[in-house]
Amino acid sequence: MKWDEELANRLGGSSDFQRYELGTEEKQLLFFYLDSLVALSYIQNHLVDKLFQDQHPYPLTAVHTVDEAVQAILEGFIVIWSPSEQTAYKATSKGLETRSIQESENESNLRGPRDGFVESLSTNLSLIRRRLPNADLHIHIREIGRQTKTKVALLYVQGIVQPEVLNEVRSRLDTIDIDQVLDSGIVEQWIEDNLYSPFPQVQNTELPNKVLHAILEGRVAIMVDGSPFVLIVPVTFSMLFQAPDDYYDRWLIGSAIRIIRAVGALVALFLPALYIALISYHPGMIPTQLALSISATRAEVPFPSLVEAIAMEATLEMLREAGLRLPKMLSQTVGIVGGLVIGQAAVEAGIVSPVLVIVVAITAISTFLVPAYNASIALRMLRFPMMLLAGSLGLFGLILGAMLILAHLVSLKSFGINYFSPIVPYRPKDWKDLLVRAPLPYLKERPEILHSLNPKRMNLQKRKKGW
Amino acid sequence: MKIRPLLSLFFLLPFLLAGCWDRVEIQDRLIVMAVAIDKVRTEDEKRNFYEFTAQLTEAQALSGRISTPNISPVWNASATGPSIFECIRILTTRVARQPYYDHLQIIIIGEELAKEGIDRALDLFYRDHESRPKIKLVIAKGRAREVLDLDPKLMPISGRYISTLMEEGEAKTARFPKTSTIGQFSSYFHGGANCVLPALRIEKREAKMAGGAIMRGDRLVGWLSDQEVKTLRWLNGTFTAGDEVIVKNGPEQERNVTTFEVRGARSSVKSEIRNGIPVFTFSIRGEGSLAEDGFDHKPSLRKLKEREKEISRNIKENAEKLIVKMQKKKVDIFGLYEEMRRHQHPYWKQHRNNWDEVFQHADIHIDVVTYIRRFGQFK
Repeated sequence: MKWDEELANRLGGSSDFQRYELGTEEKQLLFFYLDSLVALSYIQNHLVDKLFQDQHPYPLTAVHTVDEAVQAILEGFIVIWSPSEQTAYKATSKGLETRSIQESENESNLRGPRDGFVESLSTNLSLIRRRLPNADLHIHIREIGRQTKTKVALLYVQGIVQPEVLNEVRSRLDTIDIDQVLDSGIVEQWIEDNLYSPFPQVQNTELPNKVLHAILEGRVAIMVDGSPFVLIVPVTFSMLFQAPDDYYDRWLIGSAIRIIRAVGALVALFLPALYIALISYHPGMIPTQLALSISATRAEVPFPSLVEAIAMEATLEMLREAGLRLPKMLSQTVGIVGGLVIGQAAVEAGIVSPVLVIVVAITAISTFLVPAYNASIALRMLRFPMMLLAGSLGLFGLILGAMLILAHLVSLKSFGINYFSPIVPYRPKDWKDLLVRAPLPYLKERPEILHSLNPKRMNLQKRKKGW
Repeated sequence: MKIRPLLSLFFLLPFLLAGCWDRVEIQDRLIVMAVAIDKVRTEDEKRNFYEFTAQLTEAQALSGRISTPNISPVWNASATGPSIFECIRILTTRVARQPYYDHLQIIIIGEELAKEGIDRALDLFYRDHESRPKIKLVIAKGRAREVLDLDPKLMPISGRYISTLMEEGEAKTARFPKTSTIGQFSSYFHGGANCVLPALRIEKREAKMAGGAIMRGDRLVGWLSDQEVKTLRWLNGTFTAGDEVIVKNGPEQERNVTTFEVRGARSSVKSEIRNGIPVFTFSIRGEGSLAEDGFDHKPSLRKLKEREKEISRNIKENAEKLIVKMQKKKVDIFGLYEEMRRHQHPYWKQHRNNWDEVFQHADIHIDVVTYIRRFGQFK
């Protein structure tokens, strides 16, 4: 009875710890489990019948120490103590309730598979393994978190990934010593290169195909149990503007959309600042007819363009956040109130000029063009310092801000890989997959910047030029 | 490290300065669309005074957003003073908002001032950062201010109307001289060459572009009719489309004419020195189509060739007449001075100071070839 007492001693602090006794006089079994994780009916329906048959030994794993038993119980196993044999066994239960695989809500795509990751690590791993039945796909699971003991999986393809990158990721993961890892975001923030940069140095995705594409290029994926967001490292800036559709659609379409995204990113960052600089400092750069009409519409506006623009942009950010946090039914109302009522009323009251409303609207749409939400947020935040610079120093300030951002991007690194490559450092080969996604046969090599051990990813010898 | 706080302070300091010292919101500026400069003389005739008129535009009134009758969209404010800059400063004593010259479209110079030289009057506009070299330059027959006072039919602002008129006309006809901006004028004048500027006349309360003003240096010395301007542009080969040549198909049939629509013209000059006299050969080549013809609906290759010859002869005659006229006036408006400087440098060095006399006796030949490329279908 030592085990009995020991387990009760260790786990008795929780009301969900259950001790369930069953049996006859000659054969008695004790079941220990947490009823928050295991249903009693499961024991009765599935285990009891098998255990009370006479064919021994039990088809179960033996548990040797109390520590092991405690850990097993906490993880959702059923520990069975057989007093007659003085041995403990552990049996798996049905498994935990998980969300079923659904279409990803945050990353929607038109072309390509729809399934998205869920909170369960094993389900997520199965999504990857199913698509890559290859012994070279290595999955290493470790536990991180003093309290949560969260399972964190490291995924890479042996023979493609560059060992230095892999070792870097491993050694950074080894340093994590923290109470709780409730989402992959905690891991991301621990291992990223620059804590103060507005730009994300780790990519997260809900799409299995994105992860596969990355690890087959020679990157490393990090999966955290309990989080549907899988991390991809190392990251380059251009990756944040790419979506899986780019590869699945024909190259002209993919390229056109990528160019639109790049334009959108520039617009999101610079348009309000440009508006301020032109209105307040350089009206000579506006075409004469437009200058006249802007001047006419702004005649009643009491604020300088900087105040006007910052107020409207801030309102926009508030509306967006409100729409995000509210129940979905209400968020539509917020959109209507914000877009129609505030915009219209502000113009009619003469507080802002209609041109600014157009600028704000275009900026808002442009920020939605960036597929990576964290990159889009970075651009949105940087817009405000840009506006301040443009409002205080005009176009000179705008250029100053742009140069500061560029200097930062160029100096940034993600796991030893230059963040702004292949533009800086210049890698002309990788430009095939930058702004323009070159036709498939042109992409026969993995990105040069990753220094993959196996750079070729296709063989064109059998493919004829003209079919 | 101490450098970080210092660096951030450095970036924050600009915001604490007097703050946006160059900032003038667009609605606080008063856009100047056109400028007219005339000459006025004080009664004791001691100092030359400019009469400077700026055409100020009130954007809000222009857009019809306010209907107060005493606010007018356009205001031609004048000031007189010994220098243009002084005039602009005098204007600020009467105009409550800051005039803004970045959108200045056109500078109109009055005839009297032009006769005395326009370079000094334009000096400010070459130098100032607000005005651009692309501002159009026009010489008005009569007073320049009166042009701004016109009420054109299509646009509320007369300065902008004339500016648009010149832009549109440039593409449709060769009746406007090529030199039409202060930047072009400045490079001609400061390069020592003469040029022809567009001339403007008021006719029945309307502005009319009428030929060219012959500028010897920066002084007005005479006028060219619009037909002469067309010939000048043939000689320079500086237009691509828009001219027309009319040839009579025989003297007895007065109304039977062929009109040749020019689609492109090129011209090159070759120079040489023969017996101490410069000899120039203009080779002009024109292409185009028949706009209206007198073929009696029976075109033939022979007839076409005849027409081409006739057209070439017409152009050549006009050109020769113009050259004789200019040689009499001793004004080289054909850019021959520059041609000499480039290709006959020793001779140019020798005669650069008496070029007008040399030009008068220069031997100028003209070759014209024209091609009728299409004559249309009329069945």
